[in-house]
Amino acid sequence: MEQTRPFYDFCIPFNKDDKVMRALLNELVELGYKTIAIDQSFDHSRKEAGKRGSEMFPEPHKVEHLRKEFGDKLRILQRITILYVDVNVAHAMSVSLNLRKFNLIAGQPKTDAALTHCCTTFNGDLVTFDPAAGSRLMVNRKAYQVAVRRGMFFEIKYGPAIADSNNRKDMIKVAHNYGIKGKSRNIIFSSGAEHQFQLRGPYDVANLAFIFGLSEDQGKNAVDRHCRQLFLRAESRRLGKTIMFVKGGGPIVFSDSSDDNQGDSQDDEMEGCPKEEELDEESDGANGENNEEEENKPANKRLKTA
Amino acid sequence: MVRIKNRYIAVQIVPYAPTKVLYLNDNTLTKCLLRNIEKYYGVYGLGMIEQGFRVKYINERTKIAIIRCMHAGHRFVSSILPLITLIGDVRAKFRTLYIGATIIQCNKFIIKHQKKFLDREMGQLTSAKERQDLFKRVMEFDMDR
Amino acid sequence: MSGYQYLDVKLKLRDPESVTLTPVFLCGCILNSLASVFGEIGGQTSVKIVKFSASQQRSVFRVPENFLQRVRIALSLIGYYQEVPCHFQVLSTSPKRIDFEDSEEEVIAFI
Repeated sequence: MEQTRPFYDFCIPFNKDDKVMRALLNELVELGYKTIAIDQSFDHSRKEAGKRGSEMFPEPHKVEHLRKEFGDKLRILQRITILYVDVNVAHAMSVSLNLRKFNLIAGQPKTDAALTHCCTTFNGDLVTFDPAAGSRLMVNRKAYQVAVRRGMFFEIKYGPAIADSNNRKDMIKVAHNYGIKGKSRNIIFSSGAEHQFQLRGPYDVANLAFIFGLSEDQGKNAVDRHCRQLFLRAESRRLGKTIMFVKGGGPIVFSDSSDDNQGDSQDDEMEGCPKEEELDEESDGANGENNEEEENKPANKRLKTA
Repeated sequence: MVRIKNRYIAVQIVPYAPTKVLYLNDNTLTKCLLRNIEKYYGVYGLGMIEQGFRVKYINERTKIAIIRCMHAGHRFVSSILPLITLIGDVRAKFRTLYIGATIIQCNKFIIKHQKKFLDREMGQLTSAKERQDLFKRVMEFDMDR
Repeated sequence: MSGYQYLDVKLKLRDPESVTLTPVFLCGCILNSLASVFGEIGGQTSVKIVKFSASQQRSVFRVPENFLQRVRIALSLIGYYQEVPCHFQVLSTSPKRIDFEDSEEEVIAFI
């Protein structure tokens, strides 16, 4: 299991200029973000539909040097945002190999039909919208519920809301629409910041929940727990069926009541103990990349921090 | 199935200079209300109220309008109504008559109200033709706006 | 009436030379943002500067307790200070009076 630490910001637009990128990332570190995703956007509707089967999607940008530079302080993921108008995108996505190189796939529908498709069948993790023209697309209740059941997440970007007051209104409107249609479940906040002055600290962002019509808890989850869930979902989609190795950090305690933090606390004390390993087979058909060796602290328990 | 809760606010528009007919359409009224909400409650109020906000009915004779808005923000709307003094380019004030949860209740109230209004007006008219005319114009409900 | 909360705010600017940073302007900036986000009624509150330091670009505000949330949102939604991109970073909040921990010389104290 890949470890990620709060807080999360899953939308940092890619910038060709390394200096800007560095400034952004430095600011993110300072504000206390630990896991971020560099976003690159791709307009599917602009490509001609002629060449089927060939690779439609771009390679991810090279961010290795940034990864190396920020190594321990910041975990950098990659994300692609696909703008599209019709369902043809599903085929292109299923044959694409480049798409697998991205950690997160977000869909940005441009029409109502696309929005419904995005919520119900889209093979991605995240539904986002264009802040400039977003308020025309309103998700309907049915699609929202299907999306929640599938574990899709909805993104609200606060960066545009800082820059312009008109966008701010649209943001609030869209966010409240989520609240009306489905009690604002599965919402994450991300920045979408063009430059470092549009970034805000995680607690400030969680505070924005008030104007976006979320409860205090939902607001905090939107920068922490939901992002973790989103990441896990994205990983599981990316890897397909895999064998997992679950490695215990200490002696296995059989008890009904699960104690959340015992993994951490016992690590130091039980140094001498042999580590127990058990093989947990998630499913029999391992396709593609198998043998993901992962040291696993129980996945969702870690999230109760903060 | 979850129902989306609405609030229907029935208001009477009282112009400063008494006129028989008010030249206002639902569009100008909507714009005026939204502008005032932005003024008094900012972008936050506007974003909250804008979805589902609609002027459902406006009668130029009796100067009655029905405003629909979401349950969540109806207090924003009802609280700024007394503060408005200018609608379109008419100096006027709002008088809130009724706030209901369904448009049927609002209709019932308005019909009662209109009848009272008719009773008063009828006495001043002489010919039967005019009476019929007035009756038709006052009682018509044009709900699909 | 409920109590007050104190906010320790640091202002980050892209180019700090091109702006004039005074307590009054700073306060005005915040009040402007409050008015644009929450309007005349929702944003009506008394923001008071308790301490201000131009050199550190830091200041302590006092706001009514029940307006803390709104003020914080307004602070985080400020994108520009005198047309320069900026960022208000809230360092701490507390119900008691806060002082800067170091360097008192250039601090302007109110009240």
